[in-house]
Amino acid sequence: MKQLLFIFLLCSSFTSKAQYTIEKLTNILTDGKTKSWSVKGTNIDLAEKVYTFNINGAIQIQKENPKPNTILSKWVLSTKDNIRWFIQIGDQLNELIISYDKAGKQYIKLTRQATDKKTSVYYESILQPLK
Amino acid sequence: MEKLEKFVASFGPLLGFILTAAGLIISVSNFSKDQKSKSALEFKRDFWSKQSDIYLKTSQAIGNICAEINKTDPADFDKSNFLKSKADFQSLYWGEMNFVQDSVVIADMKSFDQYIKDFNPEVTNIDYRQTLIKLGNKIIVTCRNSYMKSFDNLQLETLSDSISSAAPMKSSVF
Repeated sequence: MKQLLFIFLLCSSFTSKAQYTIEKLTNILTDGKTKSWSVKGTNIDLAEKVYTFNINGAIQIQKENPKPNTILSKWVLSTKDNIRWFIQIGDQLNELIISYDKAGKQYIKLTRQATDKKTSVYYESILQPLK
Repeated sequence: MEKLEKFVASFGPLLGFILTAAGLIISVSNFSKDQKSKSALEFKRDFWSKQSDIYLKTSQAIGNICAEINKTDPADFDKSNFLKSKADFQSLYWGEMNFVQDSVVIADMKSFDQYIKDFNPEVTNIDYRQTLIKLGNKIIVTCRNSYMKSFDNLQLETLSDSISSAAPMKSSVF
C-alpha cells in the first residue's frame, strides 16, 4: 500500500503543472520584451560582460576583451525532459539554472562543460539583472 | 595382421599415454577457465553490490532534500536536516558516484548540485521548488533503472556461466 502511494506521489509530481516552461523562462530572460543582464564568470574569465536578451530570439553581447565591442547573435532555449533547460547563445550551449540569492533576488546560472571534455569540471557564470 | 599386432604392442602404451596426457591438459584448461569466469562473476557481484549501495545512499540524500524543499511554509524548513543531506549528496556526487561512472546520473546530479548549492528556503516560488523536486525524482528513477539494468546483466551472465559450466559435463557423459 505504501509503495502504491509512493508511486502515485511520484507520478503526480511528474505530471504536475508547476515547472519552468519555455514561456516562463523567456519571460524571465526578456521581461516580456528585452532585458539586460550583467555576466560574471565564477570559475572562468569571460570576455562577455552584458547580455541583452530580446524576445525575438536576438541577443546583444557586450564584450570587454581584448577591446570593448558589441556583437549580435541568437539565443534559443531547449530541453529534453522539461526539467533541465539549456540555452544556446551563438554557438555556445549552456545549462540554464534559475537561482535566488540570500536576499531572495532572482539570478541565472549558466554552466557548461570545460573545453577539455576529459575533466568533469564545469564553467559557471552568473547573470544578474541590470536595472 | 602380425604387423598390426607388432605396431599395437610397440606404440599402444605411447598412444595411451598421449591420450591420458591430452585428457589431463583439457581438464586443467577447463578448470582454469571455469575459475576465471567464477572470479570475474564474483568481482561483478561485488561491484554491483557497491553500486546498489551508492545508489541507495544517493536516493536517501535526495529524498531528504526533496522532503525539506517540499515544505511550503519556510517556518517548517529543517535547516540542519537539509544541510546534512546536502553534504551527504555532495560527498556522493564528488566522490563515490564517480566510481560507478553512470554518465546520465552524473549529469543530472551536477544539475541538482547547482540547484541546491544556493537553495533559498525563503523563496516559495512553486516553479523553483518543483523543478528541484522533479530533478531529484528523476535521479532516483534513473538510479533505479541503472540498478535494475546491471542486475539483469548479472543474471544473464550467471545464466550463461551456468550453461557453459554444464556443457563439459554433457560431453564427458557422452
